[in-house]
Amino acid sequence: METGFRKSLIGYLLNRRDFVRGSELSAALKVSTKTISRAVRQINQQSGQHELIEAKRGRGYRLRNPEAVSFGDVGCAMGDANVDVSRLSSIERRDEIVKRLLITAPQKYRMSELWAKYYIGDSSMATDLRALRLMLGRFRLSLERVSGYVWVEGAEADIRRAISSLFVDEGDLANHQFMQPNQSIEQRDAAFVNKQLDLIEELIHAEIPYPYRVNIFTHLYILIERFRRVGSLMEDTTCPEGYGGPEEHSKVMDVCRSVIENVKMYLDADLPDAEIYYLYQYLTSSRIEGGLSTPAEIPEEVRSATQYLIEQVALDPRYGDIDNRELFSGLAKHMKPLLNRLQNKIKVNNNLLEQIRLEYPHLFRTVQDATKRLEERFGLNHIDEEEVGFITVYFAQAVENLRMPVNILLVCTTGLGTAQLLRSKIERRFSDLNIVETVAVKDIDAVLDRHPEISLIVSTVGLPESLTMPTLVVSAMLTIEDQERLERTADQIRSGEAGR
Amino acid sequence: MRAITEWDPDLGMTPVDVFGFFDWATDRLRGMGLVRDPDRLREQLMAREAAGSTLVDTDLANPHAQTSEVRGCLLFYTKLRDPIQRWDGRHDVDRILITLLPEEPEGEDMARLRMLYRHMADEVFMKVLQAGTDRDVQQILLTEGK
Repeated sequence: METGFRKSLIGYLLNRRDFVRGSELSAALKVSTKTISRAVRQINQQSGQHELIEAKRGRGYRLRNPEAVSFGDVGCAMGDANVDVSRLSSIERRDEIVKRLLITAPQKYRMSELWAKYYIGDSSMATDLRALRLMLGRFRLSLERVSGYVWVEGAEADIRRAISSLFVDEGDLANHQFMQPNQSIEQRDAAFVNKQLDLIEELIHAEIPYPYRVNIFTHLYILIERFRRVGSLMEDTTCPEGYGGPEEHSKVMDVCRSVIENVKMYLDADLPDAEIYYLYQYLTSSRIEGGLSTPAEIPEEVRSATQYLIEQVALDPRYGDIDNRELFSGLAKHMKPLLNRLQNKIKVNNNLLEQIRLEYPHLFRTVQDATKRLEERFGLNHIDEEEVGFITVYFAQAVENLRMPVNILLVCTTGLGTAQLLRSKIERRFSDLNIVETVAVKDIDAVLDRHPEISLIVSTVGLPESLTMPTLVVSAMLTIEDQERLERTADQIRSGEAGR
Repeated sequence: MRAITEWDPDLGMTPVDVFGFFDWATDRLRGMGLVRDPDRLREQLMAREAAGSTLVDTDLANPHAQTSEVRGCLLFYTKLRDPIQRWDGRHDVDRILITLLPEEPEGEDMARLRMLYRHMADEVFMKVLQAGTDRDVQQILLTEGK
């Protein structure tokens, strides 16, 4: 396989932060998806102990650690060691620079030193500066430039938000390459933060689920890292915007106080009260079942927003019949922390986003459109795709529940053996199949006379040819293949397409 | 309901096929006085296999019949030393649970049998039937089947 092609493949991935689907790579590089998959395998084989490219079914490919990948690595992976960091893509270069500036902000750097290793001209440097300003501007941060020096300026909260959003994802956590390129994560700090998360769970008597645990971990870890590196703390003790200190959340505040007390001892430093409020924001922006919120506490604003969102999605005739009440109770619990996240500008990663988009393309777009109207109506901050993905799952569940149950008859030789086994398996796996009875093959006719509502017979033994209704013979193991056939047949019955 | 287990029995032949196994099993049950006509029962079990695979999980088959050849409900579990190749034409099997019901089983037996099969959908329970020790298998069959 050509070295040039492999370089193009890695170059393409270097310009993308997230996974890229095989089909996209195939179209962009004008080769088949099989060639892509073969190339990835070969690159990984040649890249030594650590695979260069991560492949994930359903998501595609991405570089494991783009920050650490230089074309030197790429060269090695292709038997060519004569390439250096000066060949990094511009996006990669800017990521490296902004990371250094952010983590140590407001430390000043001489421009010539910061860009030296990339061997680029003044015009490229000027382009980088424009791009970095744009990138930082999204977080209300500015890139200052005076007498050949550059540095980042802005509120500590915004700096942390930028670090969290730009550089921290689950992959980084898993790969232990959090904020320090080419270095291992400070295991001790990570262990301490995890211990604090356990403490929070213990104090609130509830588990903090994904992705909120990742978010709170990130928040506390960045707090510690920022303090360690530049001694930077929240500016003052003023409560951050959005904190109202409601009475019912005093328990949450107590939890936050305990954790920040521990951080103080750990860092041997006096942290401002603002840190307590920031942690409070993160906790109240997380959906923690049975811990922090109860349905009775759902505020009016959350109720209205949830109801409005359901109404907007239901405007699409495909979703006009969704069970409003059931959806409302689940979605409202999600919307409460979501509105807090929007207000506090807390971002959560949604690793299932691509899968959700693939699985429910139309519903995802419908929900996305509805959230835009929700933003306008309620004056909310932007609801990004990750959040749209989470919301889509609630609607998808409601749509699934809408599916008309199919009445089935289970048959085996005796009606007592494998049909019973099948019954248990189907009950566990198919909520939309209603098992009317479990019978012996010789009793089928009698049961059908008694139960005209039966529309499908599922059997572990061959069935008489005389039966005129849809039938399906499956193994007692109910293999994946059997399950797919069963689902297909049930769908055909619902749509009136099924025959004997 | 009776539950009988056989561990690594000598079937008197190698390799064993489905017919050979049923031949041995029905003869063994006749020897215990539990089956009237072993040849007829063997044919019934073979007919059930022909109607559809009785494989209920990896390595485990569950041949069964409702037959006048037995007087009461019967579970006959065998763990073989060497698997029977391609039991259903595709998969090998080294554990076989034969379930036999009389023409008119007692209500209590039917309820227990139904419960046993419902439990078989449970992974832990099935794991014992698939790969458990003699003692474990006896215990769950006695608990669920006796």
